[in-house]
Amino acid sequence: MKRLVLIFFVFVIVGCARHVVILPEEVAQRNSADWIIKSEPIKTQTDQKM
Amino acid sequence: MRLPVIVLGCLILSACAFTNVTVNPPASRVSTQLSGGDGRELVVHTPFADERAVRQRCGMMKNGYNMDTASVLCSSDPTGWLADLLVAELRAAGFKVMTEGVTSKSNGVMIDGVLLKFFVEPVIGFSTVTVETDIHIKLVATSKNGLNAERSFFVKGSNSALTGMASNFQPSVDDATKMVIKDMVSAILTLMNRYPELGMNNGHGDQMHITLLTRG
Repeated sequence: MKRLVLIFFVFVIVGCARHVVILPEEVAQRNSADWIIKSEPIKTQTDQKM
Repeated sequence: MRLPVIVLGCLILSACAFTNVTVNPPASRVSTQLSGGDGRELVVHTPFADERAVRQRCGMMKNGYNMDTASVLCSSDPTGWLADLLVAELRAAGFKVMTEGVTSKSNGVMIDGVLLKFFVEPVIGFSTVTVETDIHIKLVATSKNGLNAERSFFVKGSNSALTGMASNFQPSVDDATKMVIKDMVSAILTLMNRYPELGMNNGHGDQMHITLLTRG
């Protein structure tokens, strides 16, 4: 019986260690709400006429 | 003798998954049903750059004890088919898209994508198994006239079932793919509408319009 319990705990501990996908509530944190503009395009004369 | 039989029985009952599963790009078009490209020119470099932490496989199979027992493999490189799907949907939205080279226009926009994560994994619940697919892509938009913008897209596709069968993996991948492509097309439209001069044929459209009015 002790050996069975030991095997079961080893399985559970090994299993808990592997998790690659993130939790659903963490998705929003990794998603940008909008573009991060590092520099804007320079307007040319033709663009300004438009 | 009793102990090995019990252990073997437990392993079988816990639905050990020792066979690799292969996932494919979505069979049908993503169809974002977005429009507004207005023939503006974009260069989307394909395939995307690959910066995944795990590149040798696209996911993992697990048994009832949450143990990694086999791999989920991609039939083709996701950096290629995700970029191809984005190009197809941008064209469907009305953009004129090139997939290589650089634009000759000063206001032409170049888009470079980086695949940061693509991973499929069954998450074992109390009574159900949810196959989750994480896709993380970063897009960088630049132009010769100074635009430099970037945005990160992270989506999670899911498909719940009573068991983690091989057939439950593809719907999860399809779900995540559709979400990320729709988000990216929508974001590119937002950026191009914020700077309407980007990708336009400078001057030529206006000149043609004036000529027609004069003749009328």
